[in-house]
Amino acid sequence: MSRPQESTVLFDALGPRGRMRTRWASIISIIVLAAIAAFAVWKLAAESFFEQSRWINPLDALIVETTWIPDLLNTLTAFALGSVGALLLGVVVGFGRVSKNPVVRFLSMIYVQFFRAIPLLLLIWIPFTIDGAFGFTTDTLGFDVEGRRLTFLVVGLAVYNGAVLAEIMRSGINALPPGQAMAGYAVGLRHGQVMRIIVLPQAMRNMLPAVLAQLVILLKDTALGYVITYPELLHGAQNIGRDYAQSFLQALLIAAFIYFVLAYALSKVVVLVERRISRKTASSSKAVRHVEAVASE
Amino acid sequence: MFRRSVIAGIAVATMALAAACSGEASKEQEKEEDVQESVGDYAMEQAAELPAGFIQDIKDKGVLVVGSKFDQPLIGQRDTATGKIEGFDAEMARLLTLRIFGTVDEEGDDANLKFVETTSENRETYVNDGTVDVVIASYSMYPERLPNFDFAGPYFDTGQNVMVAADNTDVQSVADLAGKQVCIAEGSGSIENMQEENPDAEVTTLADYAACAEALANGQTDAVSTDETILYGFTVDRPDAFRVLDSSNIFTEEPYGIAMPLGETDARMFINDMIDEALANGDWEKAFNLTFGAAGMPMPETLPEPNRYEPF
Amino acid sequence: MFDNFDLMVAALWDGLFTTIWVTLASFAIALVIGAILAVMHVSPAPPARWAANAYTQTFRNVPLLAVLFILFFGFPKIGISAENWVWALVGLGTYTGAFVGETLRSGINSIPLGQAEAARSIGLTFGQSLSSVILPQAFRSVIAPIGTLLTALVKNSALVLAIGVPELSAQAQRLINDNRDRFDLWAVIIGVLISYLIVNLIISYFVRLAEKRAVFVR
Repeated sequence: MSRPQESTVLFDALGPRGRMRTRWASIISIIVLAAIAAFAVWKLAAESFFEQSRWINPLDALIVETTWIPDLLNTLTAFALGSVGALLLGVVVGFGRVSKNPVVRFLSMIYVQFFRAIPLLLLIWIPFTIDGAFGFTTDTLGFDVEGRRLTFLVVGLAVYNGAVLAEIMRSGINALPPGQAMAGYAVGLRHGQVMRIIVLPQAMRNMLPAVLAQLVILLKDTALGYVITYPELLHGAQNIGRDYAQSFLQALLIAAFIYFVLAYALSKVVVLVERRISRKTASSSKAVRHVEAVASE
Repeated sequence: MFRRSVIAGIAVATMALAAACSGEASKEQEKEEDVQESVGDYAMEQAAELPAGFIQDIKDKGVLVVGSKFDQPLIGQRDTATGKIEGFDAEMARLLTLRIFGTVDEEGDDANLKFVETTSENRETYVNDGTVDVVIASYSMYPERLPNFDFAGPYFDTGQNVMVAADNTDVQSVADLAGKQVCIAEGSGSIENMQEENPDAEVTTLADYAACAEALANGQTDAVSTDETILYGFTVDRPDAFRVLDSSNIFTEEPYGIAMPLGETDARMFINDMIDEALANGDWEKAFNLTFGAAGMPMPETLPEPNRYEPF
Repeated sequence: MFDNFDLMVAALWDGLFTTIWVTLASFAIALVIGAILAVMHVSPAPPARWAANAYTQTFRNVPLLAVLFILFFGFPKIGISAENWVWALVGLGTYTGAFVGETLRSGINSIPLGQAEAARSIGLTFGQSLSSVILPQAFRSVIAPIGTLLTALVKNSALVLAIGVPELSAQAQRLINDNRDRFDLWAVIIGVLISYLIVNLIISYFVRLAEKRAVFVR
């Protein structure tokens, strides 16, 4: 995963003295870290943090069945729908960004600039509140509460991440050497054809890791559903922490662990895809890394 | 590498599930299985006649949607093991459902009573936008709120008090809070009350009272201040951690009301009748005994009396 | 339409001020943590690399909101208490630090090998070649992505309302939820959106300026 040949130039293979020094430095820092960890464990134990009941109560079979699993499914539902929406929006607006029509280009630029500037929290909460003031989804569309909450969480996730994905699309396309498109035009292809046949397939390879990395972020962002009391995983954990006040922190940690497992598995897919597709594009690896950097929100 | 981490993840998840079998919730359920559930014990019957409009509409759509707290012990709290909402507010919602439909069914697609989580922050929005039909969420019918919503009730009278850590001996009255941090839930009317009663207290806000209670247990705040009923609920969970000041310190009147959109006078009177009926036929007392009473709170000396104010 | 306009502006201004200083302070923390992580990532000592990796993986895979809650409710349990805003800064700083570290690392890796080789061949040590040859160049190539992280941080700072820090989003929510009758819904929403847009534009401007400077120097 790391690129050792690039950074190891910074130091020689260590000699005996260097190895010794590194070893001592390592040992000392490990001891310091272990001491800090031991202190924390000791303090937590004094608070009976590790007491069995505090961990078993929030993991009781009934709670797993009534709260953990449904809320996990709610999180995954919002993630799945949000991803689909964000990808669709990202493709449409991303194409708009490189369109030949200046009006379309301008509108797409406004979309991206606007929605990348506003906190996702507000992009979920403001439409929800405005809709509430007019009762559009409840009165006209006849949504129930659950549907309303899911809709606005998904819309927020899609609109926001759509803007980021559009930007990834654009830099993915721009990362291709211009000669590629020119060659296409030279053999008489139209703009659309150049895009479809030459630019996109290669740009896709540039973008895919960044797109997947952004989806990991989207997964974590589902936790923001709390702002409209969407019953997602973190919210469920808080409810459990209220039910069993002694396990407040434990419930939060369990939720964080579940998020970690999900996001980590998803990011492993990213690495796998990255390896599969590397070196099958005309772009330099530096340009590809630039595309990836866009995804870091 | 990928496959290995997935397998590791699954293994850990399975271990967690395997460990998940015998917490308090399961044990409690075994105990409770023979005990009759709260609903069904009530004497409340379906009203002979439903007022046209708001109430009739609820009857026609077949479900009463109630905005309720999910995080306040004894008042409205979601049992994460059964998914049921427990507490006095929830019992009032069940009585109202009985009054409208004659039965209470909270499960499945045909349920005629549905709870929606509301916080102090969003309960007003939810009444206005029709997310919920009524809000029964420890919502005080202050005079200045009456022009904004129609309130039935009060169905319970309480007042604002202060809770401190059990080992805190400094704070014996509201005046002692000068210079101390007092945690109050975002959007709660208790903020203004505290600022009026003791302007020297430093009010900090967190998302809800459960967070405030946790912060108090952690020593991150000196006190939590809100309705005594809510504070009482937290002492039940952790009697060794918290102490509620003597009731003589109560410095506001908090008449809990059932809120609905403005201009629904018929519906308001219908619900007031329901509360009167519950007080008369003993259902109110049953609801009290099931919640506050079971936690050891003495029966209040004076019972609430619905306020049939003139519409604005 | 604009009832209590001045009250609303005052509240939003308060919130904006909090958002800005919370962002800047936590960004400073994030830069320090990120730089340390980047050095650890390329360090000769394997435990340093492992530690940096563990840190990065943890913060990249857990929602910021969960990080904030766990800090806020967890640290007092081991006897470390602090004001709400401290946990806001620590949470935002440690979380963003992981992303800064990754960005810096890819910046270091983007420096042509010849640079490191040249530094080494004139006898500079690991520390010297990193601090006087690699990092200054790496910083230049990461100005744009770090700028992206800063704008992301502005947006992420909205989450600290959950642990009781009254920043811009919290003020907007409070204005709308508590005072339906007193403040106009649209005025508050437009006010808060414009505030975020302006902050974003200012940051973009400075990032572009910094980028231009950096290119010039090179």
